[in-house]
Amino acid sequence: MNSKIFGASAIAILAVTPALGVTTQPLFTFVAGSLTESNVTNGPWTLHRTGSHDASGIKVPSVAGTPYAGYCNGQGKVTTNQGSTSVMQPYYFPFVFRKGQILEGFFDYRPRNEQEATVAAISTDWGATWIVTSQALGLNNYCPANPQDPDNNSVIVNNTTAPYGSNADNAADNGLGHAFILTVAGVQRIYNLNRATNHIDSDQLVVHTIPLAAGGTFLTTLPALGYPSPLAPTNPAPFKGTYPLLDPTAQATTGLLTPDAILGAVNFPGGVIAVVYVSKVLNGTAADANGNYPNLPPNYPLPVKNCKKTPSFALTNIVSASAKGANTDVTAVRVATTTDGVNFTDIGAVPYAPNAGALTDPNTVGAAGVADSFSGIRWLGSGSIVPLTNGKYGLFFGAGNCLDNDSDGFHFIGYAETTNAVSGPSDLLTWKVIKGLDNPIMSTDTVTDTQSPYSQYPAQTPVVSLTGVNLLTPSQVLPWTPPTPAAPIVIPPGGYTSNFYSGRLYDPQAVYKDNQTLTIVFAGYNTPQPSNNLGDYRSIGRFQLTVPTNYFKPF
Amino acid sequence: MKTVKTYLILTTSAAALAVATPASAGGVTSPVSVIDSIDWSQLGTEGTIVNAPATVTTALGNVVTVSDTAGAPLLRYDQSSAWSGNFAPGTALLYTAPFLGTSDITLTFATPVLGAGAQIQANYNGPFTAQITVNGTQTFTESGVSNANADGSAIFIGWLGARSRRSSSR
Repeated sequence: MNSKIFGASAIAILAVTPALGVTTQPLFTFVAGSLTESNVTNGPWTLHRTGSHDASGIKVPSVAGTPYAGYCNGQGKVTTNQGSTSVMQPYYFPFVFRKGQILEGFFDYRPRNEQEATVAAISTDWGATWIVTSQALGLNNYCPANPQDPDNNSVIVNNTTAPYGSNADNAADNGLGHAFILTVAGVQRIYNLNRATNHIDSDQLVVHTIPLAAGGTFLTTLPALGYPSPLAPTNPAPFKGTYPLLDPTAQATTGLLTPDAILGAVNFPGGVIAVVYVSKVLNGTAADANGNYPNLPPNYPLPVKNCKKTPSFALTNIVSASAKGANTDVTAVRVATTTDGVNFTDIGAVPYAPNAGALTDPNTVGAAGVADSFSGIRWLGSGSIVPLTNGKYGLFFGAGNCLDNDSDGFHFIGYAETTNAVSGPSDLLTWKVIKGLDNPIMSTDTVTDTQSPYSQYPAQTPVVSLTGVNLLTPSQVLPWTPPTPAAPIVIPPGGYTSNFYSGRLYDPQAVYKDNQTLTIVFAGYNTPQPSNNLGDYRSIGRFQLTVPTNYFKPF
Repeated sequence: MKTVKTYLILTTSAAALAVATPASAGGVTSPVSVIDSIDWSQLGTEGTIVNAPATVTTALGNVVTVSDTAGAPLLRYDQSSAWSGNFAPGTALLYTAPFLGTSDITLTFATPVLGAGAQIQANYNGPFTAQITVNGTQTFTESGVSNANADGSAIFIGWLGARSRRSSSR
């Protein structure tokens, strides 16, 4: 009898032994109470300001509401959020880093069809509240001609109504976005995506130099407007402009391949800096007249497979219930090096699945009624990289697939690590996804394929799984009301669009808080398209993750 | 001198100091002899937004009111943490953050002092001019260079009243 007991004990020991040296705790756990929709103090106009206005509106099923409420005052001047703390909207695509006990953030401020500017802010409470320090590189100082027009078809220029949203050649809200800050050889620069038609995802990144400062990075030395005029030459006189001509101080990078956003940078000996960036080829999987795909990246897996229209079961939070068509954009995560911050040398792309080291799988197209069919990552469009104590790098990313049919990749927040310790730039080219669509850190609303076999996306409960996270009340966003689709569509826990990130969730910016905690600042939309709920879009939020002690290197 | 009001223009000051070397009244560029000081860390840790006016106490117990002309808040920084300047590493700093609406720092001493001053640095790297105004009338300016050397080289700007020896220099 005793020997059996001893034997059982020995077996138990053997079972435990292999785990020694391997963490048995989850890589990430949610810090309870840390998820919040951020507020902003000062800065430009916000969607909602206590005692002043609640901008809201819808385009479907019929235009209603006032999406530009309070944008201008009675004197025809654009208003600000100065002196007020408001819900941080419409801001998105954050770039955030830590200096001491203060976070510095750079945000894409983007009221729909009206403005796009870069806004710098600081936070002294780990991203729950941001204080705007400066704003630059905007599009215009015009007032909407009709604050109730969700498309902002006309603006007031010199006291006269001028075409704006009504002419696709004008800027609308297509300015300089996706800000990233990098200091190379003692020179600090800000990099932006030029979103103008025929320039976005084909031009090099726009570069401006920012003076180094002891207390923070401010945009006060940059031009207020990134383009001399937001009005296009195709406008009728006297509203002819020069858009998309950039301001004369703008420089451009060289050597990046169809850049869309920089995810992060790593310093190497010899003054070499490697950037990990998202390359996006618009319509890369749309065949030309001869059935060829001339713009495909050379390592793209053939044959080309495209999404179908958004599956009906995934339309839960699209008010119009109108499926989006297949998105034919191609994204790749690439690595480039620089020694001067302007001229880059691309050293290659992260492989696509099924190759080892892949982050994304262009062959994941999904099919309703097929188990786990929509579990792959087709597009990865945003995120940030972080160093690990073991020499590897981690990547917190926003990504998606045919469930959304959008190459911005906004379905969930995931996590990956380099397969090797990073001793040179090429080590940033192979990764392993640890938190994907089906086991995410955080997700937009759960969608359910009710056909057999029944499949939920995500399959597993996200690390951060809450409902009702929204600072706005229903009355503040009227006339928008949550959709109530008929069966068999499954209503997710908490109801549709109950979170400020129910419809979009992306660009996680990881910040080291202490040796057990990361703070993640991210962007979210209440609905997938702003036009569905113009009172609740482009929001900033933050949450915190407990991580294994000393897993991440301070950064 | 019944009360001394130290008025610092520019963006950042380190500890305010009472100086005690006899001299004719005027500006000084070094704290020849420090007999008292203010530790800004008493206003909170780095990142604390200090609503003005705030009250601090010097090492020797003098009560000082810290304010801004516009009534705007100030911000606490630490050198070599969030502040990449040329104070000595770890120095507790008080920042006249322009984005908070702050334009200057005014120190009002409950007990009169003979002189006062502070290390000071502009936010942007490069040359700058610091100015101190005493009792709203007398001013002194000094040139400085802002950099990220973290070596304690931030200039000192102060004012010393015309009073003999150190007897009543607080």
